Formats: sequence, structure tokens, C-alpha cells
Amino acid sequence: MFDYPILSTLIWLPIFVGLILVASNDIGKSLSTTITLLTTLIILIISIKLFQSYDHSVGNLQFIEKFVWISGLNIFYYLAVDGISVSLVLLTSFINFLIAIYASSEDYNNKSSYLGYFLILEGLLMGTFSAFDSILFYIFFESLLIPLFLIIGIWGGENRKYATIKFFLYTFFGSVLMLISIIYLANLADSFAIEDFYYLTLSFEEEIFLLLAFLIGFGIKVPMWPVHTWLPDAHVEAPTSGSVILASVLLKVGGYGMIRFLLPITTEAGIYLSDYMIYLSLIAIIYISFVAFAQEDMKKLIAYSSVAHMGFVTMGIFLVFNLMGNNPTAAAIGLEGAMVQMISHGLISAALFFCIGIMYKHSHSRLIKDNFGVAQFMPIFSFMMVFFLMANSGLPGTSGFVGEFLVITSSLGSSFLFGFLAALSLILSASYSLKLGKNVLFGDNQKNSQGYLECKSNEKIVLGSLVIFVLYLGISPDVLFNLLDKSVSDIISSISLGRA
Amino acid sequence: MIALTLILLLSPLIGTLLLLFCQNSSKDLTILISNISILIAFLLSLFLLYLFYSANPGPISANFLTFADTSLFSLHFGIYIDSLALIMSSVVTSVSLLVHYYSISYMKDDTSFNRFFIYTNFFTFSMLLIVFANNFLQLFIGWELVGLSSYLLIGFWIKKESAIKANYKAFLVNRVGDIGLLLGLCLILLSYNTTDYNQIFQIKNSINIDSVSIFGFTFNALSAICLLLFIGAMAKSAQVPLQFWLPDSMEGPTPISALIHAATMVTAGIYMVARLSPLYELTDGVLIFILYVGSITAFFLGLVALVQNDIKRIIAYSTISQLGYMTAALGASLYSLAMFHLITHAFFKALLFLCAGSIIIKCHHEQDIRKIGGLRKYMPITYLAFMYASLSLIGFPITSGFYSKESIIDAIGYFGHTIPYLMLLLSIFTTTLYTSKIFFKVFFGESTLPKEEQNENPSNENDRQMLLPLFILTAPSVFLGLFIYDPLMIGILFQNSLAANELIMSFYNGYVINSFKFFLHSFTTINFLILLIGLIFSYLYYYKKAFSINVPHFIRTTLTKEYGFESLSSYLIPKVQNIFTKYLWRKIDISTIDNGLINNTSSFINNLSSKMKKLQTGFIYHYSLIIISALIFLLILMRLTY
Repeated sequence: MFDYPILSTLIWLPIFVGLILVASNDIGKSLSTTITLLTTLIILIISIKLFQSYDHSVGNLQFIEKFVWISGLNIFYYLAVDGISVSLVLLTSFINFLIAIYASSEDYNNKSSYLGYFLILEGLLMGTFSAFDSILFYIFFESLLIPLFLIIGIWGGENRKYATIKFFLYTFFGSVLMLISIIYLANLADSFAIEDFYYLTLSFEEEIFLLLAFLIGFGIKVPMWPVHTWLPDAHVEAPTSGSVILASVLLKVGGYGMIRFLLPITTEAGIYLSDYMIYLSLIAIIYISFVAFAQEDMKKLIAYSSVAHMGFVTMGIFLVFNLMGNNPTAAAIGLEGAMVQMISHGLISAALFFCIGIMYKHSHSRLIKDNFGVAQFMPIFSFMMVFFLMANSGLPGTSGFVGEFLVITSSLGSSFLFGFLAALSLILSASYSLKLGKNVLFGDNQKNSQGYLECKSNEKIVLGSLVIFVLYLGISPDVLFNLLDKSVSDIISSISLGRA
Repeated sequence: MIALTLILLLSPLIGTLLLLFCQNSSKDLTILISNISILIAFLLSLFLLYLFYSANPGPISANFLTFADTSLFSLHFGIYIDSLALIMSSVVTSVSLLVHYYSISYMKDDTSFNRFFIYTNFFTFSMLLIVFANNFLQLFIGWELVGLSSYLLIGFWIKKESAIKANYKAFLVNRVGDIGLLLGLCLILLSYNTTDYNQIFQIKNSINIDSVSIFGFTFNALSAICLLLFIGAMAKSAQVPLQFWLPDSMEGPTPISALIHAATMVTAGIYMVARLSPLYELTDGVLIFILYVGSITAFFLGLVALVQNDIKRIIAYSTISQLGYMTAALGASLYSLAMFHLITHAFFKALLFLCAGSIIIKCHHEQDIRKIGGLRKYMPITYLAFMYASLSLIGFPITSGFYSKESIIDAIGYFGHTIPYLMLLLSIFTTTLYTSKIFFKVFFGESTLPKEEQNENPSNENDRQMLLPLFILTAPSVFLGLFIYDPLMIGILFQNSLAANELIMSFYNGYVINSFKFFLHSFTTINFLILLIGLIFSYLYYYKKAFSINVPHFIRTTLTKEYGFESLSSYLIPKVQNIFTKYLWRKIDISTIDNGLINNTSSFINNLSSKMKKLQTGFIYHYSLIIISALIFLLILMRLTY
């Protein structure tokens, strides 16, 4: 049945349609909306097919497409997926579909270009998650910046110039270091295929340098403390859908890169430095949560909360280094936790940015003090927002709990202190999430000068479907574990292989 | 039986979902759905209880939904049926049913009628999830969900500022305890590779981890787990120092105070420790800690109740104090006595709160007992119900509260825990005082009702729907203890669900003999003497006002401020948090990292490039000058090196 190159379709179809939309220069709002909706729907269906036909009883690479691209340099057009990629591909197509639904009732200048850039972004993300040639990966990884740069730069808020340049230079700086490392590794391996890097024997010093280069490159994307300061600015200036895709999928590229490059290639150096990297993650979890509490701007609050939640992702990844030697089970639990946390944060942060966008449309202010008493006028909306805030604070029964639970379990295998500090997030995330709910949703608002109105049906569909998936992954995340289980244990064993 | 239990468990959840989708339908439908779903759960509880005692199949454990099944761990949702779970579920559903019925009338004028019942149904489901859990993960999930329902219900009146503050506080304090519970859960998964009760009860000692070092103290794995779990119980069951959320939680509607913050949710911690008693028996040191936490709570928080004037807050502090009794019983390994007091307390405390609700409605939402008085004539039913509940609370002989509370005190004394015994003994006196304080102030003295209502017929006391639950609850509050005392003590009631039965047996055979003898004997004990002194004292002081006592200002302030917890939670912590987080954000995040590191780098490069730019003058003679001087420099360099 799958006689067409499924991964290439996932990548190039949205890019192609997106380019047409951008080039056609405002072909009318309803037509561009319909085209975008259709394209994202098709991509979603193909991703679901990919998920269904992916054989998760084995964790190896599947749906391989491999052609020579630049023969002189041994560079291939090499696409494939494993369980980890599939989960992120699904997240990408789902979120983009929701963005298309959300945008259908929105009004922008030159809407077709706006939607076109989102489609291009979707294709590039698919490419990033399925490229297994390091140069191809790098190209997709870098190109991600362009459409997002344009989205924020053209449709952003008042201070968008500062935000875009900061965002671009910040992340570009990291990627250059990454490019150098990739070229260095390819020189040694005589190949650009990522899995060939795994079998290299590197000296300890080489590993340390490579680790630092990759850590900075991916750490900025995640973002890790202390290279996180581009994120709040970018979020505040981005339009709602831009914030959604940024928080929900783009940040995951960093975590994904760490799993693909950092874990298997620089294992010895990672084991040596793991304690420090875990401390960095803990700082992200605790310190950033405090900073989130102080925010006066709703978007900044959620942006900081994203950094804190991504702290669990990096912590889960670095715990693998820490636990490899004495407790491989706990190490695998940590890595699965990190993956689940990525998917879950993708859903929850997207939902919260949608919520803020909906409130902003009425009140025209993102400041907490300008929004209050929303629940009286938008009961269904408020119900869902309370749900997402609860999920954000890791309430069991929602997906927000599962990842944190596994990462904390894994960290207890390393030391009680790590687990305890990570578990503080239970209070901290609840304190800032519920503070937002307390100040914005509740309270008495008799005049309704903001003009709150219950959300439209397309917005209800967007939020409602997110509620369903956050609940589903919270009550029975088994489907996700099935997908990840074998791939995670493959990675763990390939790390041990690299060491031996 | 498994299928029936599943229906019992899911019935309130189905009710919640139905209500959620019938948001805009009529009140009658809401009433029907919510009450029927709880009624089903209640009837099934009783039926299963009957089945269980007649067939006696022993504990049953079954999974019904997979949470995650991987090569690393396998986690499920399941049910665990034994006498303990079924008794607990009967208590929960019966109180819940009565409160639901009562609320129909209490909430009848509220605009969010439907939302109220969504929350209460969901609460009942979450509580049953804890009660029937067969593994720790499900326990934790249910645990947090009851926290969520409590959060939603305390803040039910979303426009009320104080309610919104109180529910925020309640959720966060509960979260402090949840950290302990979560760490315990994670440690269990790590040490046993499973979270299933049955398997862990069989394995008992950890298979993967020997000892855990918690901030420099080393515990064996099992003790560490039990200690961490108990921290969760301390928050939920309002034990010192995590008790200060409970009095504020009274901001919610009164039926909720009865259901959640008196009868059921707060007892989740007690239930958990009792459920895990086989594990707690194997720990060292943890039980002593529990015993002291319980007695300290019972004594010191009882004192706070004396200086309160809000009727609901007094009852709330008395709840904390009574929970202290249960905790102390757990700490002394008297698990079935703790459960016994839990059951009787659930009934008489729910009754007290429902009476309070009836009084509050009658007095148009006045809760300050200094402004309420002389209601005896106008509320005869509430008056009688309140009196019986009070007698049970102070442990007047033959009432339910007498059997459960006196047994705890006497057993703790019998087994030689002197200091806790003395603290619990003295608490009898304070309990008597604050209970009589409400009783005399509210029902006697000058009537405070408006003139036109004073002439109304006493039979117009309140809606029938509110009075019927009072009638029904009076029966177990007074008589239940007498009925179940003997079977409980000799271990028929809880069978083998609880550990350390032999301890209770030795107390029974050595001290109690039987329920009637215990009753007669009680008149000769010091407990009764203290009770009597307390009653006489409060009769003279509160009713006759025969004398007045000048409580030193210092003591009064300490008590009103709840030993400083009040200022800690409503002033110090928020203040510090605001300043501290603002400091982190502005000074460290913005000034140091963003401006200092990032923007400085870019401005440094900017400066550098603007200086470098000056080299590019565009004049050919500048360039030739540089070229020639460089050439000369290089030539000299070559000359020197060779």
C-alpha cells in the first residue's frame, strides 16, 4: 500500500503548498484557509498512517529512503523514522492542523503568506525529525529559523525587530558550533550518516569538546538555563499561532537533537559531566519556576513555564549518563520520561498559548492585571483553561503528570536530593499556574469592559481536542509507551555498545 | 463482585460526565442524575458488604485498565476489595448521598447549581478511586484528584475574593504533602519494580534498594517510603505543621465542608496508613513519629478552637483535633481503632456541619456565633441533632464518639505511651469547652432572629430536604459505636485487612472485656471526670456567665494566630515569595543574564565593529601607507630572524 515515499511526502507536500501560497501573494482569505486546512489534514492523515504501519515491536529505523545526494562528499538524502521520530511527527502534524483550524476565523494582513509560512515550517519540522544524514538534518534544522523569523518579524507585536534578531542570532550561534562538530565527526567517520558517528572511537578530550558544542547548540533550542532569554521575548512578540508552534514543536527539536547526537556520541564525556548538566536542568526547573511566578505578562509566564518543563526533558536525558553504569532500567525510565514530557508539553503549552490568544482578542492586553473575571463570561473556555493550568502543574490524570513522574522516579535512582529538588516543581508549577488562573479567570468583573465573549466554535474544537488528548495520554499513556519502548531501549543499548 | 465494584466505582464518574453534557438542562435533571448515581454507589456498597461478609472470599484484587505496560514497568488501574475498602466506601457513599440530598435545598438559589453537583459527583468518584485502589499509582492519582475537587469546591463562589485565596492556599499546602507521597511512589516503583499492593505486601522488603539517605539521615528503603507517604497523609489529614489550610477551606459551601473537609477527604490520610499497615508495622521509628504528630495536633489545635468565633471554623479546628486522635491511634499501631474513630467521626462531624449549615441558612449567612443566639425554640430539630452530635464529639458515654475516642485514649494509656496519653486526656477538656461554647451560644440566650421570623411556627424551621439528613445522621452518630464495637475489637469487622490485630485483642481482653462493661467502667475513669468538669465549667461560664476569665493577651494572640501559622501562610510566605521572585527575575534573569551576558556581547561586537569600520576610510593613500608600513615591518622581522 505504501508505494509512495511517505516521509518525503510529509516533508515536501506542505513546503510545496506553502511556497505556492506565499508566492500567490494574497489569493483571498477563504481560499487560502481552505487550502491550508486541507493540506494539514492530509498531512495529519498520512502521519496517522505512518504511526499505524510503524512496527513498534522492533525499535529500528523504518521507512528508509536513501539516495546519494552529493556523491563526492558521501552526503545522502537519507530519511527514516524510529519510535521517537514518529511520536514527534504526530505531534507536529496534529498541532499544525489545530493551528489551521484556529486561523480559519482569524484575520491577518496577507493571510495566504502567513499560512504559507506555517506550512513551510511544518514540512521543515518533519524533515528535522526524520533526517538521518547529519548534513540533511542540519539543513532542515537551520531552515526552521527562516519561516519563524518571518512570522514573528511580519506579524509580530510592537517590539518584534529586537525579538527576531535576538532569536535568530542566539539560535544561529549555537547551530554554527553544531555544524563544526558535524564536519569534524564526518571527517573521522568518512560518512555523514548519523548512525555511523555512533561507532567512532573518540578520545576523551575530543568528546568533551563535541559535547560542549552540541550542548550549546541544542541547549539554546531547548532552551536550557542560562541560554533561555531569547524565548520570553520571542513569545511575547510572536502572533498566537507562532507562539504555539514555537513552544509546542520547535523547542522539542533541541531535546530530539540531544537524544540523537549527545547521548550516543559523547557518552564518556557525558558521564563525566552529567552531574553538572543535571544541576543546570534543576536550575531550570526551580529557578525558572520562581521567575515565572513573578511575571506580569501572561505569555511570558507560560514561556518561562515552558523553560521549567523542558528542564524535566533535559534532566531525563542527562540522567541516562548518570545511571548508565549502575542502573540501566532507571536510565531507560528517565529517557522515556523525557520523551513523554516532550509530547505532553507540546500539547499543554500549545493549549495555553491558544487560551491566552483568545483572551487577548477581547481584552487587547496580555498583562495579568488587565484580565480578570473571565470565568463569568466565558464559562466553557474557563473550564478548559483551568484544566490546562492543572495539567501544566502536573496533575495526575493528565499527560503533564506522566513525564514528571518517570523523570523523578529515575532521578531517585541517582540520588534522593535530585528527586526531591525535581519534585519541588509540584508546588512551584502549581503556584504559578494557579496564580494565573486565580487572577485572570476568577474574581468579580461587573462591567466586562474587556468585552469577553464565549469562544467561537472553531476555538472550542481546538481546545476541546487538546483536552481529549491531554486526558487520554494522562489516563492511558500506554500507546505512547508502546511506540517509544523499543526505540528507547535500542538507544540505551547502542550507548552501552559505544562504550564497550 | 469485581463487576459490581466497578459499577460502584464508575457510577459517580458517569454521573459527572452526564452532568457535564447536560449543562443547560433543568434543575430536576441535575438533581436526578447526581443523586441517583450516588444512590447506586451507596446501595452497591451495602450489598457488596453483605456479600463479602456472607461469602467471605478474602481480599480480591483485579486490574481493569492499563496505564502503561512496557519492558520497564507495568502500571494499571485496578480494584482491591476487602472488608476495609468496603466499609470505607459505605461510609463515603452514605455521607455523600446525604450531603447531596441536603444540598438540593441548600444550593437551590445558586446560579451554578449544575456545576456544584458536577464537582461533588467528581469528588465522590476520586475518593472511591483511593478507597478501592490496588496500587500506589492509582492511590496517588485519586489523592490528587480529591485535592482538585476540594480546590474547585472551596473556590466554588468564583466571585468571592476570600474563597479564591483559600482554595489557592489549600491546593498548595496539599501539594507540599504530595511531594512526599510522589517521592514515596517513585521510590516504591524503583525499589519493587511494581506498585501493586498485593505484591509489595508479599515482598515487603525492598529488592533493589537497601537504604535511602534523606538529607544525611539514612533509612532503610521501607522506612523511607513509609515516612514519605506519611508526609502526604499529614497534608491531606491536616496534621501539624501542614494543618493551616483546613480552617480556610470553610470558605466553600457548607455541605462541602461536611462532605470533604470533615467526613471524607481529610480521612484519606488515615485510610492510607491503615491500608498500608502491614508495611508500617515493619518500619522503625516512623510509628513513634506518627504517634507524636497525632497527639500534638490533637492537643494544640484543639486549643485554637477555643478562641475562634466563626461556627464553621470552630468545627474545622475540632476536625483537625479529632484527626489528631486518629493519627495518634495509627502511631500506636491501633489501626482498627483509628478506622473506628474515622467512621464515627465521619457521621457525627457531618451531622455537626449540616446542622451548622441549617443554622447559617436560618440566620441569613451569619456565621459569627456572637451574633447568633436563642435558636432552640425556632429550630427544634437542628437543636436536638446538634446536641446528639455534640455529645458524640465530646465522648459522652454510650454514644458512638465515646466508644471510639475513649478506646483510643485508654489503649494508648494501656500500652504505656505516657506523654501522648496525657495530651489526649487533656484534649477531652478542650473538646468539651469549645463544643459547649457553640451549643450554649447558638441555642440559648436572647434570640437574634428578626422580629417577624420569631413569630413563625417552629415547624417552618427549614426545608424538609435539609432536615431529613439530620434525622438520619443522628442514628449512627449515637448508636453505631455500640453496635460495631465488639465485632470490631475482636477482629471480625476488619478481618485481616489491618495489621497488629493481636495488640487490640490484648487490650480488649485485658481492659475492655465487652462493650457494656467498658461503658460501666468508664464512669470510674479519669476521662469521665475531666469530661464532667468540662461540662460543669462550660455550663457556668458560657451559659450562666457566672464568672469571667481574663486570658492573658499573649496566649490569646498566639491562639488566634494559630501559633504563627496564620501570619506565616497569609503574610510571610506570599510577601517573601513576591520579593524573592521579583528579585530573581529582574536582577538575575534580566540584568545579569540577558543584559549582562547576551546584550552586552552584542553591544561589545557593535562597538568593536564601529571602531574597525574607521579603518575603512576609502582613501587610497591611507591604504598604501598601511601596506608600506606592514611591508617594512615584515622585512625587519625577516632580517632579525634569519
